[in-house]
Amino acid sequence: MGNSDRSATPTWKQFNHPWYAKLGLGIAGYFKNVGIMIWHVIKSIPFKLWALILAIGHGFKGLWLRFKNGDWRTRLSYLIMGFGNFSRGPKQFIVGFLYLAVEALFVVFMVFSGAGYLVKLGTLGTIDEYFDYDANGEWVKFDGDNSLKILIFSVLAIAIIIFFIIMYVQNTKSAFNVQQRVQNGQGISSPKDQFNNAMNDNYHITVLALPVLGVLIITVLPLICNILVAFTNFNYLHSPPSDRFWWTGFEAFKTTFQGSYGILLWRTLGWTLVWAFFATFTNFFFGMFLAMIINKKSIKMKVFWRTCFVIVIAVPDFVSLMMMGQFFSYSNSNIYTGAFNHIIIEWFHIKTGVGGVNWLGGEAWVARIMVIVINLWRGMPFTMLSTMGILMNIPEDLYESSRIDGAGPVRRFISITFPYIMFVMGPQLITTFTGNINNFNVIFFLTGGGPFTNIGGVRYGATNLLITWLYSLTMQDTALARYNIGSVIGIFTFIITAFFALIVFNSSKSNTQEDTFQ
Amino acid sequence: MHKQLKNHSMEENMKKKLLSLLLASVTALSVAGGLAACNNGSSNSGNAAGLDPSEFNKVTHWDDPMLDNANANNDKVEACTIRVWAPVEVIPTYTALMNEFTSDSYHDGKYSNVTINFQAMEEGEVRENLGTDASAGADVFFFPSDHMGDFIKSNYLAPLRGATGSYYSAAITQRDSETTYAPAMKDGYCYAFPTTSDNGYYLVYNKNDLTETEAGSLDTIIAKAKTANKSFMYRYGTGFYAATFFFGEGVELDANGADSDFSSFMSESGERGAKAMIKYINSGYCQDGETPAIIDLGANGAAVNGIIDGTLIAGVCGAWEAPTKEQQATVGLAKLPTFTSVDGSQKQMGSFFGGKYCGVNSSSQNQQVAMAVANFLTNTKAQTTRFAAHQAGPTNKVVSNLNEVKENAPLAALAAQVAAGGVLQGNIPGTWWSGLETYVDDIEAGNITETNLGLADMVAAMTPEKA
Repeated sequence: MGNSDRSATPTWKQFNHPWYAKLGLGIAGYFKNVGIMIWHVIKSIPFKLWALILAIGHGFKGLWLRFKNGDWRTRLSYLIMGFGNFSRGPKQFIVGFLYLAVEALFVVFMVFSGAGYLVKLGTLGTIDEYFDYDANGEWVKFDGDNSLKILIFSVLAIAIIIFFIIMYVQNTKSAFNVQQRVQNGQGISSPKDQFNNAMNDNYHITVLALPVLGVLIITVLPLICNILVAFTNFNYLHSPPSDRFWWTGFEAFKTTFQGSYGILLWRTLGWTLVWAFFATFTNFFFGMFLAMIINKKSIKMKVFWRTCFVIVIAVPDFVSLMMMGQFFSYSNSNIYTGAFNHIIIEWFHIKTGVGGVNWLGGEAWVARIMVIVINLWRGMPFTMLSTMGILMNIPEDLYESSRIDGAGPVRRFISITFPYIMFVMGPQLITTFTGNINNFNVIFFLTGGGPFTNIGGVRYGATNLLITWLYSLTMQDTALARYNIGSVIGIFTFIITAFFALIVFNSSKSNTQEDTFQ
Repeated sequence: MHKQLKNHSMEENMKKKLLSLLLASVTALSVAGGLAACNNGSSNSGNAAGLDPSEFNKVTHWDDPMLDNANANNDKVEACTIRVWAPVEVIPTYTALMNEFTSDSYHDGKYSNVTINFQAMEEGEVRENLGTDASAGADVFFFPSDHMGDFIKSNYLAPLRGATGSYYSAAITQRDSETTYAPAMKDGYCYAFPTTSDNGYYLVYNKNDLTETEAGSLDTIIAKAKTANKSFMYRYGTGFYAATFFFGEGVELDANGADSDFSSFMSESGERGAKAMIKYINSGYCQDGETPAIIDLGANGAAVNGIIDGTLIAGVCGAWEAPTKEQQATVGLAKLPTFTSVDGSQKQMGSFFGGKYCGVNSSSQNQQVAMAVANFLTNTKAQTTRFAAHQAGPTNKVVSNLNEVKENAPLAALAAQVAAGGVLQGNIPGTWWSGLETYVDDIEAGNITETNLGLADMVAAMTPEKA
């Protein structure tokens, strides 16, 4: 229970700094830790690489040793996978034929599909789609090389080759293992033994193989393809099947980080971080205060108030944001302007020009404040709900003893309530921050990235986040898609989010180590 | 859904009389038209196996050119399914036409084994759907003129050349007006069947507030609006309408997809256009100080509805939101008015025009049947039927000359505007629209003024990158 030892841990508290200096030092120390952690990761890369090379060398050595020491059955399974298993009797038929099936499927895949694509990976194809006369004298379309298919299937083929190599090595191990058991006079494992083995010793593999495979196919393979696109000229001028694209190295990176795109990239990044900061912390603090108000003993009808705010969660983002967009819409006529402008003009007679204020499409700073405020209204209930649970768990005796010591409400909040909430919500706060960097819905449905202005010949949206900008570059006008630049921005966004994800990792670790509130 | 279909068939019954009348006149006119329309074939170098373009002139059965094709036999076509993407509202009309196409009486039942499968698809959505996987697209589809360039570049369209297709190319150049088939031509061959020519906009005005002459001048309209405390509706914030002053000043639109060159907007005429745009967008308010002299309303039908409910004095109206016959008692239709250029002269407001086309998917497994279907859905009779059912503006020269078409007020207003200041909505890249719309945003925000025109920035934003 004692939070006294918590205050004893951080060294900077021993100095009698004012509170803002403490806060600054705390944040600085925090980022220093993150920096150290990132440095450790980078420092370890060469060692990890060396370890990988050693492991591969070790694997080849084992492969050779098993071949040298193997009998003819084991050696033949280097050519016909599974031979060392199924040639030793019906007990090993299933395992053996599974290995054989893997080999057969691999050969079929490579011959009929994989190899054809892999050969073209270097150029991503050489022939464009074209028209010519067919045998009947009709002018018809003939297929060319589809660069996108070549890219995707090559990545798939490489993944399958890696899988095959693993299976191949396993096959030699299995064959040699059976051989040794026979030589040592031990019994050969039956399908039942193999099943038991899968359910006990290798249980982790049996259970996790499918989820890992799913993640690999659904997330990792497309991600690799996506990253590779950043090194091509895949855009509206080179879009398959009618046209090919090809490798252009770092050209797309140059375009994105230099010139007009570069200016826009840094501006958009700046706003993205400002947005993420405010969207996260306004939600957090207002949600927390709301929860504290509702949680107060003197407040009646607690369930009702809570329900009011929870209803906001039940309405889909899409619906409520579109409605808010309509509500704050603007026209230069009192008749056609949006509902909110109507209200301030007709009910309160506030005149800020005909039609009211252009909340979402006028001045950049107005639109920016509006999206943060609307997001506050939309996101606050989530924090309120989780904070409510934490508040109910704070032991009442803490408050009582503090009252006896003469602490006022502010002191109680600073010393008890807030540290308690931060302890639970801290890591989540940074997760929310990362989530807000990619908060597509709020921006897209409220302002669509606007208000827009032409900067250096590129359209700049004042409320565009990196993610909505990426969307408009690649999806909004399919006829002008710039997939390669989109891919570069995607990688850039990934690096930034990864940075904050590392902070989460760091902080959650330190929190579990501190272990103060248990 | 059922109710809707029923309504459609009832409507059709009501229009049957009109239709039969029209068809009779078509038959009469087609003889004359057939004789008149020839010598339109574009010449091109000869080709290996297909028809020489000079053969075009030999096509005489221009509503069913396959009758001229010596290679075409009248054997029954093998059973196959042709998928057609068409807008939902015309499917009942086209289904009736296709029933005729697959009947035993048409070419002795040549196509009686063919199944036609209609799927609802708005013309504007076709590009996105073909972009996902063109080979999974319909065999025949309808699409808007501004997507033509992309479709040809992306090889979506089966060119109407080679042994069979060239006959259709020849027929199209004979039966349709040149403005409608010209965008579909490449290397002397046609790539799609012109279907309708009715995309564009014109002026609608309140007959009680304005006379026809007064509606001819933008300054008069705005002056009258200011005294009547009514607005003039004009969607200046949308790229489709925003270029009107540029076009009016004579800025040429050189739109060719990724190869577009918009430097013409930086010329002197471009500067005059920008200044006129700034002047009119900042027209200010009416006498009451609350009604804007020019207003931009997004909702469909806003111009006509506003005139009828009395908030608007006039407006720019899209062809798809035309006033009904009853509304035309109050709502007058005319070409767009003239505006006062900064050099003091009166200039005609420009406008975009375009149409819809019918294409055959180059990945279709039954291209010859698909071409026959596409031809049947766009020939003289089909266009007459579509006009009778939906008042669709025809591309066909004979149908355009029918009295019923000529007397159709919205189509007449559109034709007048196209003749006075129409600019073909060609293969305009997406950057052009967003660049122009952002320019208007900048005018409204006060970033762009008469002394700071920023045209170079706008042109840079309009022009797609070349790499």
